[in-house]
Amino acid sequence: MIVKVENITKKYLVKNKENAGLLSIISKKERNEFYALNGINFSINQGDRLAIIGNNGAGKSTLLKILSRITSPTSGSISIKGKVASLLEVGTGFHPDLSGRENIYLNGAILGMKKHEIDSNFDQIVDFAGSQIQNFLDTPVKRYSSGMYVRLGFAIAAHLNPDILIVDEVLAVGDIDFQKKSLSKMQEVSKQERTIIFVSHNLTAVSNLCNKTLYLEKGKMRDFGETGHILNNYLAEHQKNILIQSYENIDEAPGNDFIRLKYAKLEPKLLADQEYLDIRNSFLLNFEFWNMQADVNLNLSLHIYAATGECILNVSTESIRLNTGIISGEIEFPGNFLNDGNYSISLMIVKDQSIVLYNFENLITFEIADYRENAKWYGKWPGYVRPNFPFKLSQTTNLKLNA
Amino acid sequence: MINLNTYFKEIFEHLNLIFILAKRDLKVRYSQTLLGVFWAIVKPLSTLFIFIFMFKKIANINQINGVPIQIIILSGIIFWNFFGSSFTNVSNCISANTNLITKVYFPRLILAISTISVAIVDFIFSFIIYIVASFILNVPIGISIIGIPLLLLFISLFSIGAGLLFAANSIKYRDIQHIGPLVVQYGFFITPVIYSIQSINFGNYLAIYYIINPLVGLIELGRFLLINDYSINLTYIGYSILSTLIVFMIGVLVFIKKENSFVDHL
Repeated sequence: MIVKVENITKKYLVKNKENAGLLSIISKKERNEFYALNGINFSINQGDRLAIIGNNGAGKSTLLKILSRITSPTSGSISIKGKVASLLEVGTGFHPDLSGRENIYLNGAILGMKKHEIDSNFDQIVDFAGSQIQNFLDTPVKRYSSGMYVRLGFAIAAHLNPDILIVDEVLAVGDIDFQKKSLSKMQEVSKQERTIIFVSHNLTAVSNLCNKTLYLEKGKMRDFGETGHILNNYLAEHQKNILIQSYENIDEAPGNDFIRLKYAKLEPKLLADQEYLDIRNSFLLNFEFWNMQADVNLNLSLHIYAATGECILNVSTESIRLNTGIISGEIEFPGNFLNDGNYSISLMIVKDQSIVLYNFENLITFEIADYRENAKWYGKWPGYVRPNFPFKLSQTTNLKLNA
Repeated sequence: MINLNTYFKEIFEHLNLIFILAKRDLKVRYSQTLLGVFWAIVKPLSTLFIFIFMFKKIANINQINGVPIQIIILSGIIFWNFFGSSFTNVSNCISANTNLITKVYFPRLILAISTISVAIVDFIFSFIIYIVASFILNVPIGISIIGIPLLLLFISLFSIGAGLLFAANSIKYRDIQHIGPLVVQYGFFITPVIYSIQSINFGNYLAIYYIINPLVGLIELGRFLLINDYSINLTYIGYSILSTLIVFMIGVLVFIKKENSFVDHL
């Protein structure tokens, strides 16, 4: 076993008063204990690729800090065999006043490497980091952009041949080209029987890169095991977004004096072996409203918003004449249409095609998971739509071209 | 709990890091301020002139036991400044390197060791001043100056030991960082820097003075190495060296014990 973690706890004392200084020795009160990690147990073997997943505040970063020996656990023990290179948050241990070149040597030295060992990897690092960094190799890194920081940091960590490579969310920063490059580099590293510990919110990357997954929740171990199994549970749980809203009593239902929500449900049409909605599936939205107005011209306008708040689309019904009572409707969204991501649906009730009576915001929120067959690339697929149009490439003529 | 053996093995494996960090510190010190070398010379010279003025013009003291007062002062200042700068740098070595400490692991003691380099280079410049002054004042330098590197090692050990005690505690208790500068400021006067130990009368407590303030013995030893016929009490200097080694060991142990919790308080 290359990494063995036994019953690790990390406790922080949260002081209510900021920076009490020396006085805090005397006054023991006003302290709250907070467990960033509690009872973590797992072990991985050489060549394993471990993903750590969980929501913000689950303790992922704290665990990485303990594994990279930056801080020690409050109790419990870890044993790690071999050199550890870590890329935590943005940038590794860069010294802002030193140039890119000097920082490469600094980081190599931190890993305990000798100058000639670093020399032999130097060109590879610079090459991997990209042409932009090559031009600024002798500029202090404090003048680098955050993208350059990450690129150089990753290039260093991946090329200094550590036994264990710890990477925290490289995919969150940097452009798509670099994400692609760094993921394939990690795959390459893992093929050399090196161990990788990887934190990411990109579950596609996790499922394709990592064979083991540790699922943390509020500092505790929720699950640990084979990636496929853990991700299934994780996604099934996280898709319990607002897929249904139902109200028995008209007085408690959201809305106003004109109209109130009775029922709304999003129903994914899953395939036989599926547990959660992904980009292939179509899904159906059903809804019912209580209409309290007699003889009124109404139409519905539906918006889908991305997690970033941008409106992806707007569809609307014809305006029809309605009376008091229950009105209902449904809309089906095709599969291979929306890209993976989190979405929310809002429904606007419009009178006479001009007056908004009520806007039911976040009526339904849902997540579409990614799906790729035989994928070689795991970066986030760009765009909001993910159509599957016929798109062909073929060889028309065979020619010998001597370029 | 701490395996000192593996810890020091790890430091040895990181020799290259010590050099790189030292090079970085020197670069920051000397290339980023326009007049880096100039300041290294001005600092001891200005102290020297102030005290020459005080002693010669105000107190009317021109020599102590036949040694010109300039030489007494200068020989004290160059070693005191070496202590002052190495002690200050060591005390600040954690807070000055937060960007490294929060991101990567290496034995933190390396930061303290490498930061001594700046003090050494500063010392070389002030030592040149001393040599020039000794020619001007016709105080010949003997062969015993070859012992100076060893003396610098002892002063470094004391600075590291004492500095680490401050570094280890000032992260959690920020108030402590105000005490360090006071040590350098007032220690200057309660240590025979601008006077000789022979000028004060401690009676029976002299040995204790050498023990609780090891710099007394170390600076006197420095004068012995620089000035021919300067008489010292070797037994008492032995006390100071012993006390230096103890401070060093305590400082290092306390620091190693705490080094993995620094990040939680940064």
